[in-house]
Amino acid sequence: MNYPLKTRQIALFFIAFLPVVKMFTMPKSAAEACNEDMWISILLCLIIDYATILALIKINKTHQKPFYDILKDRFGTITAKTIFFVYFLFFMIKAFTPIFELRNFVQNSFYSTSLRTFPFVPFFILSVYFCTKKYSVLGRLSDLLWIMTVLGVSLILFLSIANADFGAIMPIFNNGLNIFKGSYFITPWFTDASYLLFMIGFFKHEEKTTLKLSLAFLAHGIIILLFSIVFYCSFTFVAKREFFPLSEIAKYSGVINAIGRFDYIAILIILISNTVSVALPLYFATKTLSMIIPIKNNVIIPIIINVSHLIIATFFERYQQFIIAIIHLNLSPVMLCLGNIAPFLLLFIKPKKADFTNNKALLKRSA
Amino acid sequence: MENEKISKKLNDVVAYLEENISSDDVKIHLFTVKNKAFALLYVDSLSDKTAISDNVLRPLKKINDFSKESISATIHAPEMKTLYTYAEAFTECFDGNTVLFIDGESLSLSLGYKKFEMRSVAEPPTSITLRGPREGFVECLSTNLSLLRRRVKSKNLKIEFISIGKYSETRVAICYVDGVAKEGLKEQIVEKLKTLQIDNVADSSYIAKHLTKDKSSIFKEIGTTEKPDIFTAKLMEGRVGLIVDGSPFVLTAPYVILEDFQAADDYYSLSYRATAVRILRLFAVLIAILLPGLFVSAELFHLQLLPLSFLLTIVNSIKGIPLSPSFEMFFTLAIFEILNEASIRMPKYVGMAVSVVGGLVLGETAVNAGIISAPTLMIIAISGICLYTVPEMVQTFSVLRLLFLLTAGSFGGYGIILLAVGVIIYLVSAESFGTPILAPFAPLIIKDHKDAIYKGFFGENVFRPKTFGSKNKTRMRIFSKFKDKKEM
Repeated sequence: MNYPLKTRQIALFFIAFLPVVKMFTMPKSAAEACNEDMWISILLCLIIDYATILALIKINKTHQKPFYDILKDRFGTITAKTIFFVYFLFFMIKAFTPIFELRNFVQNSFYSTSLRTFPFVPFFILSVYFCTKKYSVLGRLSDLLWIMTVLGVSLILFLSIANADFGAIMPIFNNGLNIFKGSYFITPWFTDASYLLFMIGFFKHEEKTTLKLSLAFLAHGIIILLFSIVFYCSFTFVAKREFFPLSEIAKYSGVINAIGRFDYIAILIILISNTVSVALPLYFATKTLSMIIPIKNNVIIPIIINVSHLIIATFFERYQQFIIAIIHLNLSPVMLCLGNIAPFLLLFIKPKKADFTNNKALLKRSA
Repeated sequence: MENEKISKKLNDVVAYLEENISSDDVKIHLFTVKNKAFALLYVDSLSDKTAISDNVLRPLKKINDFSKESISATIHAPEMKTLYTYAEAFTECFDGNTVLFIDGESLSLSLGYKKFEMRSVAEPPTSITLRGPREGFVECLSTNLSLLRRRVKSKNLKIEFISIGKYSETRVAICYVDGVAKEGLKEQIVEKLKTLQIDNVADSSYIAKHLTKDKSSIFKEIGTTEKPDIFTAKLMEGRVGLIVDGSPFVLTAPYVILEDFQAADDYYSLSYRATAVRILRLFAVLIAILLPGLFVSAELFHLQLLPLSFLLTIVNSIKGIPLSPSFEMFFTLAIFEILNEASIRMPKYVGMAVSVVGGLVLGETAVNAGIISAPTLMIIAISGICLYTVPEMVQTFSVLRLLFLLTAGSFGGYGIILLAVGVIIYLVSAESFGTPILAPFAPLIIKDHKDAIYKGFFGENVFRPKTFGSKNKTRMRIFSKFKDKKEM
């Protein structure tokens, strides 16, 4: 059977797209909650995500069919579509924070001297185009863009690491239960296992799948932790006031003093994979909605999804802090349930005898 | 009507020919030998009349037995084919062959006495090399096939002909190495070619455009080359080639973007040098496409990104320039493109003068007059030079450069990023006959990276690229290497 995704591509997907979306305000938010223990909050979220990923690898091995088919076989079409609708809402909500963050970051970092506000419409046009693409394209994008993430982050860390005072994260566990408060608040940035949930059945389980995906997730975790630690160690107790670590972290490097904002080259490189990364929840929202409402024209659903987000991003700009607060303070448990706990429940569903005709047709659609 | 069988009576044949071919360059020569009537049909400008006289007319006068076998044995022709319909006779005639009709026989003989003027084999102007073969394809199909056959003597090199064009009936040779080309690829190409109904195939680019899936794309889906050594190498990688009569540009499919970044010289020079040059080409292309846009976006939106000393230089140079940064860049680019176009079309001796006037006088004067700034002129010049490091993709890259410039002028740096991501998404989804055009980068095929940006040493490329899906994987064996391993 020809699978649209390869294990390697999913591994590179973890490295290419998962870290970059957490480099805007996530480290600052974690520092706000638990200061020098922010990295422990992040580590907790990473561990939860990793456990879910391991469960999903096991589910992929036992079922070898897409999430929709597992639900349909066990609970019927209506339940499957209902659950997919819940996940559609989940991805729509998950998309809010990165879109607001990206818009604010671009506006503040790149257009601070220009009079007009940066129009964010082109991003949504690109996102519509991206959402029409199949899983094989996502896999190939991972193959290509992981190098951008690694290169960009390495350059940023190289420029900033010399200014970091690593003693700043000591002593550990100094903030007690605030660590959990931090984890609770930053949960919506994580719940990345939900992406893998929608990829199961689209890649073949091989001998080294678990190892490859674990190593890739570890690499993603290291990138995030290292970036967050260097950020906190560069700004210590004022880290919570630095809204955009990505453009601030290397600002005081000696190289920049000599030749100008050299770090912007790294930021531009990171922004390439970041743009795809921010559009990912919209991409998966498209996938879920197109399973609920199968429309032949594959542009209509992406347009509906992206236009609705564009409207919110444009007309509800003044309420963005309020929306983000609701997502991170009130909806975190929901996000955790759907992103991390629900996939575990799939472990209890026994695989039905494989219906290869259905699976083949679905794979063909996504190849 | 033309599928009508050839009549036994020569009078009827001649009447049919006269009725259906009313062109002055087509000759019908009637002659009799010992009361047996014959007719020769040929195109005056395409046939070798001396050969017809020496090998047909003279020998026929000496024979007594007028059976088809005897006539065939008497005539000396490098190619001889028996034809049964008028349609076949017309095709052979317009292809340059001479058709012999015999009274009393319901058939005719096609005799290969083609002779026409053609350009001699020379080094192609589009791919000049310092090392390696200097031969280039020409407009004549048979010459091109001879250049190919001389390089690949194997019986596995298969060549199939197909005629395309309602009026031109242009012959297209489909070439592939049996057992090396991906299974079903040739059939796929033939199927696609058969769907083309066109009056005239003026050049191979018509065929290339037809074979392209996304007709509005600015990226190619079919490879081209003018050099037989490159063409042979591509066939050996598992591609299928198309040689179109009348065009020196031969086509290859599937196409990957990487192949345009690989020059013939890379394979004939040091691997270190080849790798370095490939990296240079890649950077040059990025500079060519992005530099004008980045400069405009920095000037318009992101002045804070520039180092202070550089910023002061720019501010001093743009002082008093009446045009906005984006319009200034666009204007300079337009002037450059006009000069480029003029220098290509103009006669060589005038072209030289245009280069001097355009490059030195116009540029210098425009800067001094304060119409454009020196950095803008310099950026366009650098971009223009960098563009030609990958000559096969000049058209694509110049369109991209313009798009990036327009985006930068409208949306600034992040607009450039968005367009870049859009182009990347387009490229990773594009395929040429089932092969992703961005292979071996996306999808990542690690084994093929021995001849991608990095150029492996001789002996490293033991296997054919996986990209093209050839079943015959090994293309090189160095036995001493295995021997050494065994001894260890």
